[in-house]
Amino acid sequence: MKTWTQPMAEVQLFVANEYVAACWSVACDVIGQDKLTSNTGVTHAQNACGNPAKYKFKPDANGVPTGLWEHSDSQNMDLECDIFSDSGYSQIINASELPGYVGKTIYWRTKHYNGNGDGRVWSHEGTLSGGNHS
Amino acid sequence: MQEPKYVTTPDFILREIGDECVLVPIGDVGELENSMISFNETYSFIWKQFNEPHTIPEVIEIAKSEYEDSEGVMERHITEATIELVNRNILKVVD
Repeated sequence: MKTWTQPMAEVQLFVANEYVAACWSVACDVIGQDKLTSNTGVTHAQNACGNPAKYKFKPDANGVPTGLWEHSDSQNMDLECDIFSDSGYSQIINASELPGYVGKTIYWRTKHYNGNGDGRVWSHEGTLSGGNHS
Repeated sequence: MQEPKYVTTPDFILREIGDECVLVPIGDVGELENSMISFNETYSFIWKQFNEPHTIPEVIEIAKSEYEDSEGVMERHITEATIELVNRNILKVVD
């Protein structure tokens, strides 16, 4: 026979942290030749910079992006992106500011081998989506 | 006066995870939404008895056949636990 013990119950309440569910997405809308250079070795493709799956935002504990990286299959590495708010690529945006650009076009640049390659620079643009999903 | 019968509501399911029993809300449960309730063995026993409609005295009798109650507290414990479960809408009165 088992020994009776006092019935005990513990309630664990789960509070949704809306930032845990943050997700960010962007993809380059430029197809083919880069708009800002005549170098025919600087092209954009839908299955490369045009693929949102190639991008990482690495959000912090509050769901705020800490940067933007594009994985390049051809270079076999993550390319750190310089982010801009204008098509002239002159107004730099810090990644932490990206939440203010949801639904807007952002501009970013990637460098061949993160600047350690042959000097080619790709100028991208696309609409940022994301934020909290609660 | 006839003792009321109680039964578990379909808004909760009991899952045994390792050696722990967890009551998980699956319906509209108000304040217990987004929560899990962990039962020890005797609380789990009480809840399981009410999977079929039972009165409190009936559950006490079943418990007496399975547990040794050297301190004589089992009857009070079962009564209090049942009332708590009813107050939390985890058990409901059978019409």
